[in-house]
Amino acid sequence: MIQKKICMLGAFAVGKTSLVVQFVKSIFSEKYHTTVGVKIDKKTLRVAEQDVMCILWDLHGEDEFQKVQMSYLRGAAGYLLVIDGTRRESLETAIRLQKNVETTVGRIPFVAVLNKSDLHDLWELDDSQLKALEAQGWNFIRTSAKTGMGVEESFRMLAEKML
Amino acid sequence: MTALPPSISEYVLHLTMEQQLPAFFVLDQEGRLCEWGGRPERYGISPLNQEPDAELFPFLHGIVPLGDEPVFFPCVETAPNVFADIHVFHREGKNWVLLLDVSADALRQQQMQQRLNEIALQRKPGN
Ligand SMILES: Nc1nc2c(ncn2[C@@H]2O[C@H](COP(=O)(O)OP(=O)(O)OP(=O)(O)O)[C@@H](O)[C@H]2O)c(=O)[nH]1
Ligand SMILES: [Mg+2]
Repeated sequence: MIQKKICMLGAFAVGKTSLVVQFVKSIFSEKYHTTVGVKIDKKTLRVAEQDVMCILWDLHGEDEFQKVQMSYLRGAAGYLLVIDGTRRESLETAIRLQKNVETTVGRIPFVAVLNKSDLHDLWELDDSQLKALEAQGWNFIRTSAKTGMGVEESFRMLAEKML
Repeated sequence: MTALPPSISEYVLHLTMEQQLPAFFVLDQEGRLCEWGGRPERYGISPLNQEPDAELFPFLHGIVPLGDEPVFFPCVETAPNVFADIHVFHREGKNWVLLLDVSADALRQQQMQQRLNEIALQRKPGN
């Protein structure tokens, strides 16, 4: 079977773990339990008539004191760049992380995930900035790890780019 | 740095064995498991009669066969609440995998990070 290593990257508390848990187990929890280091999970997807085993690296979040070490990305075929739509600064973190990956690992496929899209009233992202990033080749998808909306699609979209 | 006398190096080795519970695996160039030892069960790994695939060593995908450069994955949660620093390096034509237990540090770090992140989220403008 084809196997692909996928990393979950983004600021802290954007929903990286929740997306993986929703994708793998179809569960969501409101309770926040921050990730230290990395936890690896697996899930098989059927993409373009092939079974693809996704080896999911759920990394700790990036913050001021704790930078994500790029060594975790060794051997990765792609990554989900997770943004919390209710926290504008998480987009800045994503932009920084993406640049960092490109300079240290190179150009590997990624999908930018706008998570927590169930929280419309708290939405902080403005479309002009997203459009500018799209013009640079970013692909966005809206998800909610809470309702499950867009979750499998985001992994599927990445898998299609990686094959 | 000057060399360490045997009484010190033996003591350091003893400390490592006691506190970091090393486990090791040796894979040949074709990726077959040829040797293993130490405390694999500590990390939830039971290599007996198993092919070394993504099931057994998910962290090796994409990095073996290894070049001259070693790979280091810090703080990998290999079993619930068990964290290992994973070193992969090349010696004598084979790939060596070494796991060292860092669970105590990781769990302390988790508690501290949890508090820091919760404070940072509350401070968020608009809240
Ligand atoms: N409403 C809503 N809440 C979400 C969603 N995704 C995650 N959350 C909540 O946001 C918080 C953080 O989620 P995590 O999945 O732990 O975030 P993370 O990115 O893994 O965080 P770190 O491991 O600290 O980097 C938790 O309280 C989740 O319940 C979502 O889509 N909608
Ligand atoms: Mg997490």
